Amino acid sequence: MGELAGKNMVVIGGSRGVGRCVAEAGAKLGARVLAVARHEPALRDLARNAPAIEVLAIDASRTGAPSKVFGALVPDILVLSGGAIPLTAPLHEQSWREFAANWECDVRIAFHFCKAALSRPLPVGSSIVLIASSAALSGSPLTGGYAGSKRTQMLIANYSQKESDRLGLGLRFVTLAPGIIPDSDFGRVAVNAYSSYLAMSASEFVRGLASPPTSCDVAKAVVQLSLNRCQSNGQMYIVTGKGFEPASLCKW
Amino acid sequence: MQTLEGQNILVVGGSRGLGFGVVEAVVARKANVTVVARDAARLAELKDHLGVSVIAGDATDPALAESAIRQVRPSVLVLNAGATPAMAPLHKQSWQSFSRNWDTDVRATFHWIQASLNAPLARGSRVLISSSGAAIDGSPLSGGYAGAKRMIWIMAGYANGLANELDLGIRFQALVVRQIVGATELGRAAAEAYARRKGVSTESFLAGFGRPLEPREYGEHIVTLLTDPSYETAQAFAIRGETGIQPLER
Repeated sequence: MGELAGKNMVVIGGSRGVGRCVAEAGAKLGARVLAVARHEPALRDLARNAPAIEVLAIDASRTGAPSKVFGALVPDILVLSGGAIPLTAPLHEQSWREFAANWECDVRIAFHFCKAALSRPLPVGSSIVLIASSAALSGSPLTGGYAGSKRTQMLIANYSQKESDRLGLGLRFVTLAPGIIPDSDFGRVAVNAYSSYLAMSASEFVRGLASPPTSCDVAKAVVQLSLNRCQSNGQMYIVTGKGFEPASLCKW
Repeated sequence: MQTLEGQNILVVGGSRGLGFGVVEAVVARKANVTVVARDAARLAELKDHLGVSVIAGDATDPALAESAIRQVRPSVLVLNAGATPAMAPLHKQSWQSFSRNWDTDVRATFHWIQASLNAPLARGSRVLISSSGAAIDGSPLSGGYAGAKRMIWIMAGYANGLANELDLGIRFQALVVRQIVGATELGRAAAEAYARRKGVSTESFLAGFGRPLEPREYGEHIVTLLTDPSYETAQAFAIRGETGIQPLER
């Protein structure tokens, strides 16, 4: 039996990148996994390659999305990995709509699902893992409102933990802050934007990153944090290719 | 700038609260002050009492930002426009109430920064941007307020990067008030909500911040920031009643 046998895992943004790695890792370790994403072709591809994984095509940023998702499977582990790929351009060349893309997608998803986790509430002992970004700590000048949106996801997790503790719900909210993930769709976009901005090749730029994580490194961190129940309530973790370590949001 | 006398200062969101404190302080220094706000009646009062110029309009309108900057040609732009957040825990917020400060404060700041860079403002101009201590400490009963205010602080950094790259000589600086100001509408609402949650009186909750910061005193700090050359370069400042101005980043 796998380490996650008997657990229900829901992965928002489960058809690609980090989300897909998490879904596959969860299934491998024996969890019942539901992968949720907007785009059906990518979900169909996942279902073909990993028949044990259940799939649901839905826009998770919609107000009613959590009740549909939890109607299909009530998770012990809820992973929020979905989000928009921002336009890469300097601030003065973006429209407001472009600038706000991650707020209207990533933050919306975090808001609706954390609100639902608290209101429903999810079963005692459930973990809610948000995949944010180290851009929330250091900024990302070519990706519009991405950094502030990721910061807001961290705050949502932090507030939700406080609320869960106050109401005695026994939920655990955790945020991961990986740096640029060169093998993900957005990672490739970011690498291309920053390398051309710095007038270097993409591979040169990636070599200059301090141990960047792969999608599967992030998935590994998600699984380990879901299993490890010690003292991690409300915690934020920085994820690199070497592993993950706790960090304090106030210090950043 | 050594003196504010004769400087064109544009205060966006200057009709009430901390923004009004800034207006009073810079008027006292004989600056040419223009106030942008939505409330036309309140603006008429300001015009009568303080002799400032006024522009009535919505700070989130990019056309207003562009035309006001063209008209006033400010050497100091103070971006203070913002909404009072809906005070409630996360799961009692709607998406709309959660997003209020993103849709107002961030959106207005975004358009005024763009207008400042695109105009561009004259070399040596300063743009002061209102972030908040919530951007550091979080603010669990104010929806997306803290995240929005963090975004505003981050944007000051992006804007400085662009100003350097384009060699514009404009400096963007974020203002981080590190206490709840009981004398403003926004601060009062926040203090009442947090006091209720803690089960203490609003007054004793506010007393926990130490010496209060009055809007007019805040305005005097802004005058100091603008006229004391040691504050010319830092990208962000903490401001408190007890400790005054402290640079936050190199």
